[in-house]
Amino acid sequence: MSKIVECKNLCKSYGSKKVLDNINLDIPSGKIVGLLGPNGSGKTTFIKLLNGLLTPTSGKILIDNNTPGVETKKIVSYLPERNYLNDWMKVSDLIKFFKDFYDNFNADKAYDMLGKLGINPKDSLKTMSKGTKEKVQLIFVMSREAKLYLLDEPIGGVDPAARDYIIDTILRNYNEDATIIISTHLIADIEQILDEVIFLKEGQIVMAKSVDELREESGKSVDSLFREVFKC
Amino acid sequence: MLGKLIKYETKATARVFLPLYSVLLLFALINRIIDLFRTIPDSNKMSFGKILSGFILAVYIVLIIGTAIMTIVIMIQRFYKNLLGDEGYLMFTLPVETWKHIVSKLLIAILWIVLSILAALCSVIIISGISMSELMDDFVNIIEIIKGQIGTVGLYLAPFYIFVMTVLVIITIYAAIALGHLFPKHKLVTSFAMYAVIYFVNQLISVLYIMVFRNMFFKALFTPALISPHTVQIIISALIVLEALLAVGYFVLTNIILSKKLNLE
Repeated sequence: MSKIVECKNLCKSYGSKKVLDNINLDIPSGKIVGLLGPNGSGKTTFIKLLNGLLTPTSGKILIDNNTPGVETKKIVSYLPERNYLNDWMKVSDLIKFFKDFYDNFNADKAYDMLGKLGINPKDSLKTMSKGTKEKVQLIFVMSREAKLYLLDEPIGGVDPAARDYIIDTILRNYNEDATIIISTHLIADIEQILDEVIFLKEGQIVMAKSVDELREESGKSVDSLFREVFKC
Repeated sequence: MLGKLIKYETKATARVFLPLYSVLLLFALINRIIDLFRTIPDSNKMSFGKILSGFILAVYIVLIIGTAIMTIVIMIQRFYKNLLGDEGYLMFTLPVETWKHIVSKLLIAILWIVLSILAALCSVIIISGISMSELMDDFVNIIEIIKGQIGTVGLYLAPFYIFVMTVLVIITIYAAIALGHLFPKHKLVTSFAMYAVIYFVNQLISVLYIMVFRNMFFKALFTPALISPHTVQIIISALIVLEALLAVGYFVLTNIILSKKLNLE
Protein backbone atom coordinates (compact mmCIF):
# COMPACT_ATOMS: atom_id res chain seq x y z
CA MET A 1 0.00 0.00 0.00
CA SER A 2 1.40 3.40 -0.91
CA LYS A 3 2.02 6.00 1.75
CA ILE A 4 0.65 9.49 1.45
CA VAL A 5 2.19 10.86 4.66
CA GLU A 6 5.52 9.90 6.21
CA CYS A 7 6.93 11.44 9.39
CA LYS A 8 10.37 10.71 10.73
CA ASN A 9 11.44 11.82 14.22
CA LEU A 10 9.20 14.84 13.88
CA CYS A 11 9.52 17.35 16.72
CA LYS A 12 7.97 20.76 17.20
CA SER A 13 8.54 23.14 20.08
CA TYR A 14 7.19 26.60 20.77
CA GLY A 15 10.02 28.20 22.68
CA SER A 16 10.92 25.69 25.37
CA LYS A 17 7.54 23.96 25.21
CA LYS A 18 7.56 20.66 23.31
CA VAL A 19 4.30 20.29 21.41
CA LEU A 20 5.18 17.29 19.25
CA ASP A 21 7.78 14.87 20.51
CA ASN A 22 9.48 12.46 18.13
CA ILE A 23 6.56 11.46 15.91
CA ASN A 24 7.23 8.51 13.60
CA LEU A 25 4.24 7.75 11.45
CA ASP A 26 3.18 6.43 8.06
CA ILE A 27 -0.31 7.12 6.80
CA PRO A 28 -1.47 5.05 3.83
CA SER A 29 -3.43 6.27 0.81
CA GLY A 30 -7.14 5.70 0.57
CA LYS A 31 -8.02 5.81 4.28
CA ILE A 32 -10.11 7.93 6.58
CA VAL A 33 -7.94 8.60 9.58
CA GLY A 34 -9.08 10.01 12.90
CA LEU A 35 -6.48 12.18 14.61
CA LEU A 36 -7.75 11.99 18.15
CA GLY A 37 -6.60 13.53 21.36
CA PRO A 38 -7.64 15.97 24.06
CA ASN A 39 -7.19 19.71 23.74
CA GLY A 40 -3.54 20.68 23.58
CA SER A 41 -2.31 17.25 22.54
CA GLY A 42 -0.73 18.58 19.32
CA LYS A 43 -3.41 17.76 16.71
CA THR A 44 -3.57 21.21 15.19
CA THR A 45 0.21 21.59 15.30
CA PHE A 46 0.59 18.29 13.44
CA ILE A 47 -1.86 19.33 10.73
CA LYS A 48 -0.23 22.75 10.35
CA LEU A 49 3.17 21.09 9.95
CA LEU A 50 1.74 18.95 7.14
CA ASN A 51 0.52 22.15 5.47
CA GLY A 52 3.83 23.95 5.78
CA LEU A 53 2.24 26.65 7.96
CA LEU A 54 4.67 25.65 10.68
CA THR A 55 8.28 24.60 10.29
CA PRO A 56 9.43 21.46 12.15
CA THR A 57 11.95 22.03 14.95
CA SER A 58 13.60 18.78 13.87
CA GLY A 59 12.72 15.69 11.87
CA LYS A 60 11.11 15.28 8.51
CA ILE A 61 7.71 15.22 6.83
CA LEU A 62 7.02 13.77 3.40
CA ILE A 63 3.70 14.08 1.63
CA ASP A 64 3.54 11.93 -1.48
CA ASN A 65 7.36 11.84 -1.25
CA ASN A 66 7.76 15.63 -1.17
CA THR A 67 8.50 17.91 1.75
CA PRO A 68 5.69 20.45 2.26
CA GLY A 69 5.92 23.02 -0.53
CA VAL A 70 4.31 24.05 -3.80
CA GLU A 71 3.99 20.44 -5.02
CA THR A 72 2.32 19.17 -1.87
CA LYS A 73 0.00 22.18 -1.65
CA LYS A 74 -1.43 21.20 -5.03
CA ILE A 75 -2.64 17.88 -3.67
CA VAL A 76 -3.53 18.82 -0.09
CA SER A 77 -6.90 20.33 0.74
CA TYR A 78 -6.93 21.92 4.17
CA LEU A 79 -9.74 22.99 6.46
CA PRO A 80 -8.23 25.08 9.28
CA GLU A 81 -9.79 25.36 12.70
CA ARG A 82 -10.35 29.07 12.14
CA ASN A 83 -11.98 31.31 9.59
CA TYR A 84 -9.33 31.96 6.95
CA LEU A 85 -11.50 33.56 4.29
CA ASN A 86 -11.60 37.33 4.08
CA ASP A 87 -14.89 38.95 4.94
CA TRP A 88 -15.34 41.33 2.07
CA MET A 89 -15.52 38.84 -0.80
CA LYS A 90 -18.73 37.27 -2.00
CA VAL A 91 -18.96 33.49 -1.99
CA SER A 92 -18.95 33.53 -5.80
CA ASP A 93 -15.74 35.65 -5.79
CA LEU A 94 -14.11 33.14 -3.46
CA ILE A 95 -15.11 30.31 -5.80
CA LYS A 96 -13.32 32.16 -8.61
CA PHE A 97 -10.32 32.61 -6.32
CA PHE A 98 -10.13 28.89 -5.55
CA LYS A 99 -10.62 28.01 -9.21
CA ASP A 100 -7.81 30.39 -10.17
CA PHE A 101 -5.29 28.86 -7.81
CA TYR A 102 -6.26 25.20 -7.62
CA ASP A 103 -6.42 23.17 -10.82
CA ASN A 104 -8.35 20.46 -9.00
CA PHE A 105 -11.13 22.73 -7.73
CA ASN A 106 -14.54 21.75 -9.03
CA ALA A 107 -16.71 24.90 -9.07
CA ASP A 108 -19.88 23.03 -10.14
CA LYS A 109 -19.59 20.81 -7.13
CA ALA A 110 -19.21 23.84 -4.87
CA TYR A 111 -22.27 25.58 -6.33
CA ASP A 112 -24.24 22.37 -6.01
CA MET A 113 -23.42 21.97 -2.31
CA LEU A 114 -24.09 25.66 -1.62
CA GLY A 115 -27.51 25.24 -3.21
CA LYS A 116 -28.29 22.22 -1.07
CA LEU A 117 -27.41 24.11 2.10
CA GLY A 118 -29.38 27.16 0.99
CA ILE A 119 -26.36 29.48 0.90
CA ASN A 120 -26.62 32.28 -1.64
CA PRO A 121 -23.39 32.60 -3.67
CA LYS A 122 -24.04 36.34 -3.99
CA ASP A 123 -23.80 36.85 -0.23
CA SER A 124 -20.57 38.14 1.23
CA LEU A 125 -19.06 36.35 4.20
CA LYS A 126 -19.53 39.44 6.36
CA THR A 127 -23.27 38.78 6.56
CA MET A 128 -22.97 35.13 7.54
CA SER A 129 -23.10 33.45 10.92
CA LYS A 130 -20.05 31.61 12.24
CA GLY A 131 -21.63 28.23 11.51
CA THR A 132 -22.50 29.21 7.93
CA LYS A 133 -18.93 30.42 7.34
CA GLU A 134 -17.66 27.06 8.53
CA LYS A 135 -19.99 25.31 6.12
CA VAL A 136 -18.75 27.50 3.25
CA GLN A 137 -15.15 26.65 4.10
CA LEU A 138 -15.90 22.95 4.24
CA ILE A 139 -17.68 23.12 0.89
CA PHE A 140 -14.61 24.77 -0.68
CA VAL A 141 -12.26 22.24 0.84
CA MET A 142 -14.33 19.26 -0.23
CA SER A 143 -14.86 20.67 -3.74
CA ARG A 144 -11.24 20.03 -4.50
CA GLU A 145 -10.24 16.72 -5.96
CA ALA A 146 -7.24 16.33 -3.68
CA LYS A 147 -5.12 13.38 -2.65
CA LEU A 148 -5.01 14.37 1.00
CA TYR A 149 -7.68 16.20 2.96
CA LEU A 150 -6.67 17.67 6.30
CA LEU A 151 -9.75 18.59 8.28
CA ASP A 152 -9.06 20.28 11.60
CA GLU A 153 -12.14 20.10 13.82
CA PRO A 154 -14.61 20.12 10.92
CA ILE A 155 -17.64 19.56 13.13
CA GLY A 156 -16.65 21.51 16.23
CA GLY A 157 -18.71 24.63 15.72
CA VAL A 158 -21.89 23.44 14.02
CA ASP A 159 -25.17 22.02 15.25
CA PRO A 160 -25.77 18.23 15.23
CA ALA A 161 -28.03 18.34 12.16
CA ALA A 162 -25.38 20.16 10.16
CA ARG A 163 -22.82 17.77 11.61
CA ASP A 164 -24.54 14.83 9.90
CA TYR A 165 -24.66 16.74 6.63
CA ILE A 166 -20.97 17.61 6.91
CA ILE A 167 -19.92 14.02 7.59
CA ASP A 168 -22.12 12.94 4.72
CA THR A 169 -20.55 15.64 2.51
CA ILE A 170 -17.07 14.46 3.40
CA LEU A 171 -17.94 10.86 2.57
CA ARG A 172 -19.63 11.64 -0.71
CA ASN A 173 -16.95 13.98 -2.00
CA TYR A 174 -13.73 12.15 -1.91
CA ASN A 175 -12.43 9.49 -4.21
CA GLU A 176 -11.21 6.19 -2.89
CA ASP A 177 -7.52 6.82 -3.50
CA ALA A 178 -7.57 9.92 -1.34
CA THR A 179 -6.82 10.02 2.35
CA ILE A 180 -8.75 12.11 4.84
CA ILE A 181 -7.26 13.05 8.17
CA ILE A 182 -9.88 14.37 10.57
CA SER A 183 -8.81 15.88 13.85
CA THR A 184 -11.47 16.03 16.54
CA HIS A 185 -12.36 15.25 20.09
CA LEU A 186 -15.98 14.55 19.16
CA ILE A 187 -15.25 10.91 18.47
CA ALA A 188 -18.70 9.38 18.76
CA ASP A 189 -19.93 11.49 15.84
CA ILE A 190 -17.32 10.27 13.37
CA GLU A 191 -16.40 6.85 14.75
CA GLN A 192 -18.46 4.94 12.20
CA ILE A 193 -16.60 6.42 9.22
CA LEU A 194 -13.02 5.96 10.42
CA ASP A 195 -10.66 3.33 9.00
CA GLU A 196 -7.70 4.20 11.19
CA VAL A 197 -7.12 6.11 14.38
CA ILE A 198 -4.14 7.96 15.78
CA PHE A 199 -4.24 8.78 19.49
CA LEU A 200 -2.13 11.78 20.43
CA LYS A 201 -1.29 12.56 24.03
CA GLU A 202 0.98 15.40 25.10
CA GLY A 203 2.69 15.43 21.73
CA GLN A 204 3.33 11.73 21.48
CA ILE A 205 1.56 8.96 19.63
CA VAL A 206 -0.10 6.67 22.10
CA MET A 207 -1.58 4.42 19.46
CA ALA A 208 -1.88 4.25 15.65
CA LYS A 209 -4.00 1.37 14.38
CA SER A 210 -6.84 0.39 12.14
CA VAL A 211 -10.23 0.61 13.79
CA ASP A 212 -10.95 -3.07 13.08
CA GLU A 213 -7.76 -4.15 14.80
CA LEU A 214 -8.46 -1.89 17.72
CA ARG A 215 -11.97 -3.23 18.22
CA GLU A 216 -10.78 -6.82 17.95
CA GLU A 217 -7.96 -6.38 20.42
CA SER A 218 -9.72 -4.34 23.03
CA GLY A 219 -13.32 -5.30 22.41
CA LYS A 220 -14.26 -1.65 22.81
CA SER A 221 -15.45 1.16 20.63
CA VAL A 222 -13.00 3.93 19.74
CA ASP A 223 -15.00 6.34 21.86
CA SER A 224 -14.85 4.24 25.04
CA LEU A 225 -11.19 3.39 24.47
CA PHE A 226 -10.46 7.09 24.07
CA ARG A 227 -12.17 7.85 27.37
CA GLU A 228 -10.05 5.14 28.97
CA VAL A 229 -6.72 6.26 27.51
CA PHE A 230 -7.28 9.92 28.24
CA LYS A 231 -8.98 9.54 31.59
CA CYS A 232 -8.31 12.58 33.70
CA MET B 1 0.45 32.49 -10.56
CA LEU B 2 2.20 35.83 -9.90
CA GLY B 3 -0.29 37.52 -12.22
CA LYS B 4 -3.22 36.02 -10.31
CA LEU B 5 -1.77 37.11 -6.97
CA ILE B 6 -1.33 40.63 -8.33
CA LYS B 7 -4.92 40.61 -9.59
CA TYR B 8 -6.33 39.68 -6.17
CA GLU B 9 -3.99 42.04 -4.34
CA THR B 10 -5.22 44.87 -6.58
CA LYS B 11 -8.85 43.95 -5.91
CA ALA B 12 -8.30 43.76 -2.16
CA THR B 13 -6.71 47.21 -2.01
CA ALA B 14 -8.61 49.07 -4.74
CA ARG B 15 -11.81 48.86 -2.70
CA VAL B 16 -10.15 51.17 -0.16
CA PHE B 17 -8.14 53.50 -2.38
CA LEU B 18 -10.51 54.23 -5.26
CA PRO B 19 -13.30 55.58 -3.00
CA LEU B 20 -10.67 57.51 -1.03
CA TYR B 21 -9.26 59.18 -4.17
CA SER B 22 -12.77 59.94 -5.41
CA VAL B 23 -13.72 61.70 -2.18
CA LEU B 24 -10.40 63.58 -2.16
CA LEU B 25 -10.87 64.87 -5.71
CA LEU B 26 -14.51 65.64 -5.00
CA PHE B 27 -13.61 67.85 -2.04
CA ALA B 28 -10.89 69.56 -4.07
CA LEU B 29 -13.54 70.32 -6.67
CA ILE B 30 -15.98 71.64 -4.07
CA ASN B 31 -13.22 73.89 -2.70
CA ARG B 32 -12.59 75.21 -6.19
CA ILE B 33 -16.27 75.88 -6.83
CA ILE B 34 -16.74 77.67 -3.51
CA ASP B 35 -13.69 79.75 -4.34
CA LEU B 36 -15.18 80.75 -7.71
CA PHE B 37 -18.51 81.78 -6.21
CA ARG B 38 -17.19 83.60 -3.19
CA THR B 39 -18.90 86.98 -3.44
CA ILE B 40 -17.05 89.22 -0.98
CA PRO B 41 -13.53 87.84 -0.79
CA ASP B 42 -12.07 90.51 1.50
CA SER B 43 -14.88 90.76 4.00
CA ASN B 44 -13.82 90.45 7.61
CA LYS B 45 -17.26 89.43 8.75
CA MET B 46 -17.92 85.85 9.65
CA SER B 47 -20.44 84.68 7.13
CA PHE B 48 -22.04 81.33 6.56
CA GLY B 49 -20.16 81.05 3.26
CA LYS B 50 -16.85 81.63 4.99
CA ILE B 51 -17.50 79.08 7.67
CA LEU B 52 -18.60 76.58 5.05
CA SER B 53 -15.54 77.13 2.87
CA GLY B 54 -13.32 76.88 5.95
CA PHE B 55 -14.97 73.63 6.87
CA ILE B 56 -14.63 72.21 3.36
CA LEU B 57 -10.97 73.20 3.31
CA ALA B 58 -10.40 71.50 6.67
CA VAL B 59 -12.03 68.31 5.38
CA TYR B 60 -9.82 68.47 2.32
CA ILE B 61 -6.67 68.80 4.44
CA VAL B 62 -7.76 65.88 6.60
CA LEU B 63 -8.34 63.87 3.42
CA ILE B 64 -4.87 64.64 2.06
CA ILE B 65 -3.23 63.59 5.34
CA GLY B 66 -5.58 60.61 5.53
CA THR B 67 -4.57 59.46 2.06
CA ALA B 68 -0.91 59.52 3.04
CA ILE B 69 -1.55 57.61 6.26
CA MET B 70 -3.84 55.07 4.58
CA THR B 71 -1.22 54.34 1.92
CA ILE B 72 1.26 53.35 4.61
CA VAL B 73 -1.24 51.60 6.88
CA ILE B 74 -2.71 49.47 4.07
CA MET B 75 0.80 48.56 2.89
CA ILE B 76 1.69 47.25 6.36
CA GLN B 77 -1.70 45.71 6.98
CA ARG B 78 -1.76 43.75 3.71
CA PHE B 79 1.56 42.14 4.54
CA TYR B 80 0.91 41.57 8.23
CA LYS B 81 -2.73 40.51 8.10
CA ASN B 82 -3.03 38.82 4.73
CA LEU B 83 0.18 36.79 5.03
CA LEU B 84 0.83 36.41 8.74
CA GLY B 85 -2.68 36.66 10.19
CA ASP B 86 -5.59 34.25 9.79
CA GLU B 87 -5.77 34.91 6.04
CA GLY B 88 -2.22 33.58 5.85
CA TYR B 89 -3.71 30.12 6.38
CA LEU B 90 -5.24 30.48 2.95
CA MET B 91 -2.39 32.36 1.24
CA PHE B 92 0.34 29.97 2.39
CA THR B 93 -1.62 26.86 1.46
CA LEU B 94 -1.98 28.07 -2.13
CA PRO B 95 0.43 26.24 -4.43
CA VAL B 96 2.52 29.40 -4.96
CA GLU B 97 6.18 30.09 -4.23
CA THR B 98 6.69 32.45 -1.29
CA TRP B 99 8.66 35.05 -3.25
CA LYS B 100 5.64 35.59 -5.48
CA HIS B 101 3.57 36.59 -2.46
CA ILE B 102 6.21 39.15 -1.50
CA VAL B 103 6.59 40.52 -5.04
CA SER B 104 2.84 40.86 -5.56
CA LYS B 105 2.46 42.78 -2.29
CA LEU B 106 5.48 44.96 -3.11
CA LEU B 107 4.36 45.88 -6.64
CA ILE B 108 0.86 46.79 -5.54
CA ALA B 109 2.20 48.84 -2.62
CA ILE B 110 4.31 50.81 -5.14
CA LEU B 111 1.29 51.22 -7.40
CA TRP B 112 -0.78 52.82 -4.62
CA ILE B 113 2.07 55.05 -3.47
CA VAL B 114 2.38 56.42 -7.02
CA LEU B 115 -1.39 56.78 -7.42
CA SER B 116 -1.78 58.45 -3.99
CA ILE B 117 0.84 61.03 -4.94
CA LEU B 118 -0.84 61.60 -8.31
CA ALA B 119 -4.25 61.94 -6.65
CA ALA B 120 -2.86 64.47 -4.18
CA LEU B 121 -1.20 66.44 -7.01
CA CYS B 122 -4.39 66.41 -9.05
CA SER B 123 -6.37 67.71 -6.09
CA VAL B 124 -3.90 70.57 -5.58
CA ILE B 125 -4.09 71.43 -9.28
CA ILE B 126 -7.90 71.44 -9.10
CA ILE B 127 -7.92 73.76 -6.07
CA SER B 128 -5.34 76.14 -7.49
CA GLY B 129 -7.40 76.48 -10.63
CA ILE B 130 -4.29 76.65 -12.75
CA SER B 131 -4.86 76.11 -16.46
CA MET B 132 -3.41 73.19 -18.34
CA SER B 133 -1.08 75.35 -20.45
CA GLU B 134 0.25 77.20 -17.36
CA LEU B 135 0.76 73.85 -15.72
CA MET B 136 2.73 72.50 -18.66
CA ASP B 137 4.88 75.65 -18.76
CA ASP B 138 5.65 75.35 -15.04
CA PHE B 139 6.42 71.67 -15.44
CA VAL B 140 8.85 72.33 -18.29
CA ASN B 141 10.49 75.13 -16.25
CA ILE B 142 10.98 72.92 -13.21
CA ILE B 143 12.43 70.16 -15.37
CA GLU B 144 14.85 72.68 -16.92
CA ILE B 145 16.01 73.89 -13.49
CA ILE B 146 16.58 70.32 -12.28
CA LYS B 147 18.37 69.52 -15.53
CA GLY B 148 20.71 72.46 -14.94
CA GLN B 149 21.60 71.02 -11.55
CA ILE B 150 21.97 67.35 -12.34
CA GLY B 151 22.32 67.17 -16.13
CA THR B 152 20.32 65.14 -18.64
CA VAL B 153 21.67 61.82 -17.40
CA GLY B 154 20.82 62.84 -13.86
CA LEU B 155 17.30 63.66 -14.97
CA TYR B 156 16.87 60.07 -16.14
CA LEU B 157 18.58 58.69 -13.05
CA ALA B 158 16.41 60.61 -10.59
CA PRO B 159 13.13 58.70 -11.12
CA PHE B 160 15.08 55.47 -10.99
CA TYR B 161 16.62 56.57 -7.71
CA ILE B 162 13.21 57.41 -6.27
CA PHE B 163 11.90 54.02 -7.39
CA VAL B 164 14.76 52.11 -5.74
CA MET B 165 14.38 54.17 -2.59
CA THR B 166 10.65 53.41 -2.44
CA VAL B 167 11.29 49.70 -2.91
CA LEU B 168 13.87 49.81 -0.13
CA VAL B 169 11.49 51.56 2.27
CA ILE B 170 8.76 48.97 1.63
CA ILE B 171 10.99 45.91 1.73
CA THR B 172 12.59 47.19 4.96
CA ILE B 173 9.13 47.20 6.55
CA TYR B 174 8.42 43.69 5.22
CA ALA B 175 11.74 42.40 6.57
CA ALA B 176 11.03 43.98 9.97
CA ILE B 177 7.61 42.29 10.14
CA ALA B 178 9.12 38.95 9.05
CA LEU B 179 11.89 39.24 11.65
CA GLY B 180 9.39 40.23 14.34
CA HIS B 181 7.45 37.12 13.44
CA LEU B 182 10.39 34.91 14.45
CA PHE B 183 9.74 35.80 18.08
CA PRO B 184 7.33 33.56 19.94
CA LYS B 185 5.43 36.44 21.56
CA HIS B 186 4.52 40.10 21.03
CA LYS B 187 5.08 39.84 17.29
CA LEU B 188 3.77 43.32 16.48
CA VAL B 189 5.94 45.02 19.10
CA THR B 190 9.02 43.06 18.06
CA SER B 191 8.30 44.02 14.45
CA PHE B 192 8.57 47.70 15.38
CA ALA B 193 11.75 46.98 17.34
CA MET B 194 13.14 45.11 14.33
CA TYR B 195 12.33 48.09 12.14
CA ALA B 196 14.45 50.26 14.41
CA VAL B 197 17.26 47.71 14.22
CA ILE B 198 17.13 47.51 10.42
CA TYR B 199 16.93 51.29 10.17
CA PHE B 200 20.08 51.54 12.28
CA VAL B 201 21.81 48.87 10.17
CA ASN B 202 20.85 50.76 7.00
CA GLN B 203 22.35 53.96 8.38
CA LEU B 204 25.49 52.15 9.45
CA ILE B 205 25.96 50.52 6.05
CA SER B 206 25.32 53.86 4.34
CA VAL B 207 27.98 55.56 6.47
CA LEU B 208 30.49 52.79 5.73
CA TYR B 209 29.65 53.05 2.05
CA ILE B 210 30.17 56.78 2.07
CA MET B 211 33.46 56.35 3.92
CA VAL B 212 34.68 53.95 1.27
CA PHE B 213 33.85 56.45 -1.47
CA ARG B 214 34.65 59.46 0.75
CA ASN B 215 36.64 61.41 -1.80
CA MET B 216 33.72 61.68 -4.12
CA PHE B 217 31.05 62.36 -1.46
CA PHE B 218 33.01 64.85 0.63
CA LYS B 219 34.18 66.84 -2.32
CA ALA B 220 30.56 67.36 -3.17
CA LEU B 221 29.56 68.09 0.41
CA PHE B 222 32.11 70.76 1.26
CA THR B 223 32.16 72.60 -2.02
CA PRO B 224 28.48 72.84 -2.92
CA ALA B 225 29.06 75.68 -5.33
CA LEU B 226 31.31 73.51 -7.40
CA ILE B 227 29.04 70.49 -7.72
CA SER B 228 28.94 69.65 -11.38
CA PRO B 229 26.08 67.65 -12.86
CA HIS B 230 28.63 64.94 -13.42
CA THR B 231 29.39 64.64 -9.66
CA VAL B 232 25.68 64.58 -8.87
CA GLN B 233 25.18 61.80 -11.38
CA ILE B 234 27.95 59.73 -9.85
CA ILE B 235 26.54 60.22 -6.36
CA ILE B 236 23.01 59.31 -7.47
CA SER B 237 24.34 56.22 -9.24
CA ALA B 238 26.34 55.21 -6.17
CA LEU B 239 23.25 55.60 -3.97
CA ILE B 240 21.13 53.62 -6.43
CA VAL B 241 23.64 50.77 -6.25
CA LEU B 242 23.76 50.90 -2.44
CA GLU B 243 19.98 50.98 -2.00
CA ALA B 244 19.40 48.31 -4.62
CA LEU B 245 21.86 46.01 -2.83
CA LEU B 246 20.18 46.65 0.51
CA ALA B 247 16.73 46.04 -1.02
CA VAL B 248 17.85 42.75 -2.55
CA GLY B 249 19.37 41.73 0.79
CA TYR B 250 16.15 42.42 2.72
CA PHE B 251 14.06 40.74 0.05
CA VAL B 252 16.15 37.57 0.30
CA LEU B 253 15.97 37.74 4.11
CA THR B 254 12.17 38.12 4.06
CA ASN B 255 11.84 35.27 1.58
CA ILE B 256 14.01 32.92 3.64
CA ILE B 257 12.07 33.66 6.83
CA LEU B 258 8.67 33.21 5.19
CA SER B 259 9.59 30.05 3.31
CA LYS B 260 11.94 28.28 5.73
CA LYS B 261 10.98 29.64 9.13
CA LEU B 262 7.25 30.22 8.76
CA ASN B 263 5.32 29.72 12.00
CA LEU B 264 1.68 30.77 11.86
CA GLU B 265 0.51 30.30 15.39
